[in-house]
Amino acid sequence: MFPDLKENKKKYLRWLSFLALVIAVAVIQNTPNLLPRIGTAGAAPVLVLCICTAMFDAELPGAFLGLAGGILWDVAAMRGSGYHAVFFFLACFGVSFLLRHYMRNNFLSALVLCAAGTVLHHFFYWLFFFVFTGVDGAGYLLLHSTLPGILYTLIFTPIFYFPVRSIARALPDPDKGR
Amino acid sequence: MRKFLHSTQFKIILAVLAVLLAGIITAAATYNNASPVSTVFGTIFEPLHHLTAKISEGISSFGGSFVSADTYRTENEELRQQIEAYQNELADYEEMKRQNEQYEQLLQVREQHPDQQYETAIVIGRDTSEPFGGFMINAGSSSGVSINDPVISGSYLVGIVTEVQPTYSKVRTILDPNIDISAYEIRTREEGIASGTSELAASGLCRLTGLTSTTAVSPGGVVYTSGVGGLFPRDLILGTVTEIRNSESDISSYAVIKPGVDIFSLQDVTVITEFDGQGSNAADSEE
Repeated sequence: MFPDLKENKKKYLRWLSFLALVIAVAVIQNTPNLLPRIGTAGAAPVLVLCICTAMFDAELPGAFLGLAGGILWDVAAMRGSGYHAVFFFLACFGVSFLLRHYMRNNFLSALVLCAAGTVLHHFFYWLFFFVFTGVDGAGYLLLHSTLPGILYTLIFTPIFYFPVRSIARALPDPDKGR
Repeated sequence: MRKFLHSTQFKIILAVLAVLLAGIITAAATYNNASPVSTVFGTIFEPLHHLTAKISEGISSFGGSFVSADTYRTENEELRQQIEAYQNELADYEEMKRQNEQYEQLLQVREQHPDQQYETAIVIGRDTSEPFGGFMINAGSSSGVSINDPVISGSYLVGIVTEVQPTYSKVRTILDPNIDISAYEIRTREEGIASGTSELAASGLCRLTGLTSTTAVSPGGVVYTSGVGGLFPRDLILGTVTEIRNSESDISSYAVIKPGVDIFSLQDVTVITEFDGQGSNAADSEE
């Protein structure tokens, strides 16, 4: 099931560490009253965490870690069962792809990618589940819930990027040299 | 690029996407609104959500002990005024109850909703992207909970079950614009539809629409469910009228309602799994 376990021990250990982190943060995010809300805006730290972990992994493992985070969010999601899983899967794949071929892996890149990912995620969520479903006051929601939620979520970028980077450096992938 | 399109990686990506999309389509096509993937993982992680909710409750209680005396003094004064207002209504209620007791012998009207069956639950999860206070509870189909079961906190209606899994359910609250509730104001007996808006939900409020421009409903009035439609039992308290506003789109008015409980801080709720008249009409509905 796991070929070359001894050789790739560090790689599997890193995946396990990232997965445990994603599960823990997803549960914290879904637990009521643990993370304070700003009005009706809440933070989505699991999104930032999944993007940061995808920055330090190959496309497929990164995508599957994102998928795990998305599914865990979908468990508690009130709208659009499956949306978070699909978005996280594609976004983390894209992040990993960009880091491997076009971008350098540093904090500035993390900020840019987390910002882009969060904006796209929250915007499409607002569009699909509030605008298209005809919810009264969708414009108000955009200004008072979606946008503050994006900013609140981005606060977690430095909180997750550096620890994830430390784990990746301590448990490098022998194939990728990251 | 061509090499990537023919690679095993790409095929795996396509396969996973196909499974996820199939799950979404299944969720949209079935009445339960949940994809099979979410159902499986939700059932697995429900005990963990339960545990962390308990831990969070403990942390909140511990933090509460450091709140200053001024906060408690203010809260005490507000509660005292609220009790005074309800005592006035209780006097009216006592009179009506006495009359009802007389009629009861003739009409055999039972008190205290003995027709209702209940299932208690605690709130174990909230969606961070949900602006209307929706939440997850630790009671599911294995506990007798079904879709469209009303959810109360004390005697206050707080929401309705919209998704049911074996060990947990999801509840949309009365602040949700997609939830419409037939209701009436107790003093004037004026009827309307209670629902939420995005603006009011931000303040934890909802509204009673369909009132005329000359409505006699006034601040302080208490709004109850009317039971019309069979989705909610009659005489569940929705909240108290705080102000009357003119509708932006027509000449009607609506009453702003402050729910009897803080929807965003709920911890314990009760699901009404059975009541007389349940499902008798589809007039009350979730859109």
